[in-house]
Amino acid sequence: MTATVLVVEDNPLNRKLLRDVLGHAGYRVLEAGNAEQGLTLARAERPNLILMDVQLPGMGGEAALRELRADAATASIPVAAVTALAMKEDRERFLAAGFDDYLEKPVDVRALPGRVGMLIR
Amino acid sequence: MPEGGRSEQLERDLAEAVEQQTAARAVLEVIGRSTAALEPVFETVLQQAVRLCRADAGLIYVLDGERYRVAFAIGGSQAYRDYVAGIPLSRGAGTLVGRVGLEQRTVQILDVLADPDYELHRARELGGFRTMCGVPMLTGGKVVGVIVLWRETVEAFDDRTVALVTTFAAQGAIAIQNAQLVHALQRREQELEVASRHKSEFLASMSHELRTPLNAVIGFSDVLLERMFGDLSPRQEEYVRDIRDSGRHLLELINEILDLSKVEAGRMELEVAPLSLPDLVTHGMGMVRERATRHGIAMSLDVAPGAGTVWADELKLKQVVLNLLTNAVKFTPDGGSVDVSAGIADEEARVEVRDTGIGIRKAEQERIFEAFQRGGREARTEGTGLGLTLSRRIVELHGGRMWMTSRPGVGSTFGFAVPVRRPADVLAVPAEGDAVGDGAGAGTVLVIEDDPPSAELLAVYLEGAGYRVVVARDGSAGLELARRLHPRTVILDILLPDIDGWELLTRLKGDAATAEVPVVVVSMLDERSKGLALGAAGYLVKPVGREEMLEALEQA
Repeated sequence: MTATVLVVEDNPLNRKLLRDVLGHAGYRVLEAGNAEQGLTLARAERPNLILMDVQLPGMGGEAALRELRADAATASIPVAAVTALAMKEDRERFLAAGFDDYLEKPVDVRALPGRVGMLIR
Repeated sequence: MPEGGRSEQLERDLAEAVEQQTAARAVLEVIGRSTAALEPVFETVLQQAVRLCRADAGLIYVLDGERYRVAFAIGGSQAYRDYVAGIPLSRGAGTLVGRVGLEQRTVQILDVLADPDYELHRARELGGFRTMCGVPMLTGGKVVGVIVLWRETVEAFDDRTVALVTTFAAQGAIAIQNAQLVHALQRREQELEVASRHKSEFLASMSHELRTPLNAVIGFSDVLLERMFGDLSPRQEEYVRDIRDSGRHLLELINEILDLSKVEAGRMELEVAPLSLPDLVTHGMGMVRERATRHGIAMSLDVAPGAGTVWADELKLKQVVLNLLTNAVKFTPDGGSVDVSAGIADEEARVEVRDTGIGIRKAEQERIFEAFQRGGREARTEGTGLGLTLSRRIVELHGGRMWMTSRPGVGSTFGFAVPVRRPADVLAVPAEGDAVGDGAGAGTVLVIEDDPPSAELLAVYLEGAGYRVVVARDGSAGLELARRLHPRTVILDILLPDIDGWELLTRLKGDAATAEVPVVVVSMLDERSKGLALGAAGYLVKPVGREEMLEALEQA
């Protein structure tokens, strides 16, 4: 069965990049431009993985993660933070916040499908 | 005058002189105690002046912008004091203070009722004064304040009285100047803090904003190069590769600017852990081997026996080693060689990278560690021009040093050394601004100060004068750095978290390795004689101004 990945990312080009790369790797990709849309899609579609930009306009990625975890329907979906923050302490902060993984931008598109595969498994 | 009268007069003079001296000393003591607060000084000055001059009331006016305002008042009714407090006075003939401001000298009005120009009638009615005397407080030829004394009777203030008030006025002027300097300093300190915070915030957000589009540039280039959606012609592949490499170059620049700004702001922290020196070097060589092979450059490694563990930040030192190796390979012509040596001696881990590259001209050697300098070498495709600057900062943050030697046409050697042992909580405020030049300028100053804003302020003063500044946050780090760096001068705070500053001073002076290094104490404590007795070359009481600091350094 094709696994589904939900990409929550406000920058349209970066969203398209993740969509095309993951689509090429055989995943079904859902897209959301903000956290609210992302939450709606996550509840409706229950994807196998969520790639979440943490610096979203409006509700941020960390707040969205808390909502996902608080809802029984989405609590067990793995969520990876995707961020352009460069600081090393950011990585620790995101992992401590409960994200399952942390992808730093620029995302290495060659390594991405493999990493996504591991997270889904 | 009969004999008895003369001796009585002499006795009175003597008593008066003693009293005046006592009063002057009281004022000086208050000035010494309170640098920032003027009220205690004014209170003492006025109390003494009113008493010794047998005045009925006294006021101190201080210049505020273009007008003089009451800063302190003694005597007269509450209604009078309230009234004058609400009336700032401009320079002009209509008031006593206005006249003093205008004429810049002492002015006396023998009887205000008989003075046709006097305008403050309401004040006169409320105060009931007749004879008035106003003495200027002068700073640099400017009347910054006026001491006013008045009597309810018509009785002139004699010359001796005026001379006494003039002394007080001079002391008051010093106090005003002190307070203004302190306030200016505090304001500047706050401004610096705010500016530094803004800079960090700006850089963090700029970094994010730039990375977001770069993610797409690099990502889509990789998608094409991976041929996910079809083949590319060789020419297309070349161009896409160029796009991606330029994107990566930009990314590297952003990262290094961010890192550099963190070091500059004293915010880069080391994650110190034991690491293997041979592994460190081998790792770096592995990263550049492919490129070296491609250009027929031979690489060799010489690890001295016994080279083992170093306490350092592994990621950051890897960055330094990689930077030196990348430069060496980059600037060595095809068929040349790059030789690396590593070893531990004198409690220091040393790494040297020698190349047979194009070398660096003498004139450019001094600037090679500055940002965006390539020693006159043509920029090829990559490299940010920040690598060496950042590397040296990282090494200095470890309490180490970096050097280079070079002969044009023969090759260059870049090396660094870091202490093997773990430096106790060391925070390095980086040396010179890019324009100031190498530490070779005015020399290194070690600042032992636990309060970051104070340390930063000192660093600003010193760097501005061309010194390289290293900061230790506590006594034990200070001792260790003093031994290792052999600074030109040590600036020492007394109230430190671990070792008492006096103890530290004694130890510095008692250790042959540091005894010769002049120490300037900068402290809240005013114990100059104790400091000098313990061997300090200078003693400054906080807050310290820039001029004062630099002067003390020059004399130390």
